[in-house]
Amino acid sequence: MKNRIRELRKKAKLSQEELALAVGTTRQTITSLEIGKYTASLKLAYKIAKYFNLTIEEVFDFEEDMEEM
Amino acid sequence: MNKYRIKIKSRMIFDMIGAVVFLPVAVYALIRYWNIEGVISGTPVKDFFGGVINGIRGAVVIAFVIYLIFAFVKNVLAIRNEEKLKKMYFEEYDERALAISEHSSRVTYNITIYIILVCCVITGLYNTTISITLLAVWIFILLTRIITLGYYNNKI
Repeated sequence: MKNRIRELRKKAKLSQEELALAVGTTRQTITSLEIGKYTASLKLAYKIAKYFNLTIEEVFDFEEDMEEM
Repeated sequence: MNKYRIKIKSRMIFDMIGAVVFLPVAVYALIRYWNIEGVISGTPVKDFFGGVINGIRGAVVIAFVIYLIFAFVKNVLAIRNEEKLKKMYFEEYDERALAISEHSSRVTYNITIYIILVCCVITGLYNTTISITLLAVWIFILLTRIITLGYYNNKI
């Protein structure tokens, strides 16, 4: 699933490790999310969006996944 | 995080008890199974396969004690450092790691169940005992799967 995590993280001048600690996950999960290999759960998606003061839809692109169905 | 701290403390107690209980067993295994007496006195191991089995026996007990001590030290270090504890919690409950574990378990189960069944049929051609043992293992795995599926179907 496409997302804006990398873009938002770079804008906030955060490392993957720092973002991971802030949202309660590991650096490896952030890496996987950024390259689109892993799709976050609703809980993690909410935490990430909340951390950047955005809505889930503003961070994650659900449209592409819905089209594939 | 307090709940996790309590969990870690109880794990530490179990690790400590386990290490204390199994340490004499490990020492015994080292002397008895790894033939330290024989090495010192120069008595060679007569039976090769018996030696291999003894080696495995000793290794399992010794590795278990080393694991318990390692886990205890790791938990002590984590409980003293809030950052480390937090990191350990995130690593343990990381949703991606859990997803990987679930996928891996599923694939392992599927491979195991077919391989055992094929081996059961093949060994049945020349050794009934091995074939029946494999069939029993296959039934046990299948029953465990059915029971756990039922359990989680009600739970989730």
